[in-house]
Amino acid sequence: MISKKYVQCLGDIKLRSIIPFLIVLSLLLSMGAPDSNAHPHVFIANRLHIIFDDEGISGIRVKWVFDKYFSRMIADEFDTDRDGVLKPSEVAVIKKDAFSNLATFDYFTFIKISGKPFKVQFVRDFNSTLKDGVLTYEFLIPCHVKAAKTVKELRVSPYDPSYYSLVLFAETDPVTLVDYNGFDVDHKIAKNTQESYYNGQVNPYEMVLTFRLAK
Amino acid sequence: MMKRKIACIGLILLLLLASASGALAQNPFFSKKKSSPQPAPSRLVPPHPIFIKLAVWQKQLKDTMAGLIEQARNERRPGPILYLLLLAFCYGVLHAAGPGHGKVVATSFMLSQKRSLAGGLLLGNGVAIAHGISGIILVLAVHFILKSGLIGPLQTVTRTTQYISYSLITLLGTALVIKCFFKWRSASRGNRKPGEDTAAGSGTRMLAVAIAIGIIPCPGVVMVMLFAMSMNLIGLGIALGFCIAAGMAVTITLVVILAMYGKGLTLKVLARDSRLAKRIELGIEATAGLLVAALGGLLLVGTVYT
Repeated sequence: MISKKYVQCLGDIKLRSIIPFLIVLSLLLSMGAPDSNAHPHVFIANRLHIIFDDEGISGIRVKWVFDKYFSRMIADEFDTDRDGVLKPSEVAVIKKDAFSNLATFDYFTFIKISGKPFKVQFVRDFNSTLKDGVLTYEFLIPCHVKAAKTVKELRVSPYDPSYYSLVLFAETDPVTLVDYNGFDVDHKIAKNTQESYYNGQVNPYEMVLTFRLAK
Repeated sequence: MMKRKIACIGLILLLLLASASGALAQNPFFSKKKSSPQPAPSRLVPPHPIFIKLAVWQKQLKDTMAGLIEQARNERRPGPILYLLLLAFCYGVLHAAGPGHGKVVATSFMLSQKRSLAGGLLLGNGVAIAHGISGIILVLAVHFILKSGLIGPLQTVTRTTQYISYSLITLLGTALVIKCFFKWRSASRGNRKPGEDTAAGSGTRMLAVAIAIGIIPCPGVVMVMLFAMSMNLIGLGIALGFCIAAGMAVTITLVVILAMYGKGLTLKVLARDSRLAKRIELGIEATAGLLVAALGGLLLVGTVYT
């Protein structure tokens, strides 16, 4: 009943006449999705170590450095003996309560191998440190890409799809190549304007790495 | 005529969709989420570098603030503290300019009301202050009463207040639409009762709506307060919380007033035909009411499934 009247009520409106209203409204909407919490709240400096073995790429070690506020939040909760550093037992609790849940967010690491998405489902060797009030996480993503004579491409895009955290490449040494002798490797960091996340509002940055067997 | 109707409805649906996705506000490090979120396919609102810029500025401000808070712990001079409070205010302004903070809901509600500057000011400031104070109370309550870690209570309180807030918003929107319908019916019957259009909701009503929208604790305030309090700077933490809330109030109020102005402009353009203007006004109010209801419903559903 209401909807019928409502439609009639709309019908009386000349489209032209509501344009200014729509412009204002879309401006507002473009200013933000309607969650009640503004984002982001956690800031992460991201570093990638691309690890090679005899055949090609064997894995990606991801290192995160957190902002001091989130660091403090984790320290308050998990540095139970309050000594300012994390013991293995404390790291184990962090892994369980403040890391493993990130599996549902692909560990904030989105990978494409020669154009095909590689979903990060498992990670290994998690570690966390606390030093001078700064928290770090690091973990290894096993990801094997055999090198060939033709060029292969690895794209790694670190971001939090929920935009609760802002993940950015670190200003210093964002990408490190490990044991890459025997391969021709080239890499750069660029904004990917083809893709976006968080309601299409943010373009991610990505590392684009190309490699092949050295001649 | 029919085409126009369809176009209208289509546009409104598009806007609703554009605003609907991404309705999640839980910390990914702790909240148990059922399904993996994928990068949103929605391209209705093109990505804009300003989002990253806003976020990066916030990071720089927060880093500077962290340094100053540590400094304040060591040497209690008023100079750096005043500068710190000013930075907190600026952080609030930027923080609320990013996605969220009930701006869309508050704005939609304002569009459904008779225009009133006082009402807009009350609503915008009310939402921000409620959002900030809720965060301050949460941190203090956990610190002094529960004496526990913050993460658990923060998750619980956020979730509970989300349920409350989104339910109230849904009800509010529904009430607005129904009211609009009755107004439309009485207007079309021509029995306009003078004095029926009360000038914008009363102060207490506006405040109640502001609290309903802003009740969810602001994580920005929570994190900064927690940081200060972990250094035993409780007074400074509270002061910082209020400064951030004051900054957010500026931004949210500005957005609300801007939308009111937009509505006014639309009506002014059409004022030549007062009957038509009246109907358009009703149309805007009904759309805004529907938007409030839909936003509340979508946020509620989003919370249930998170």
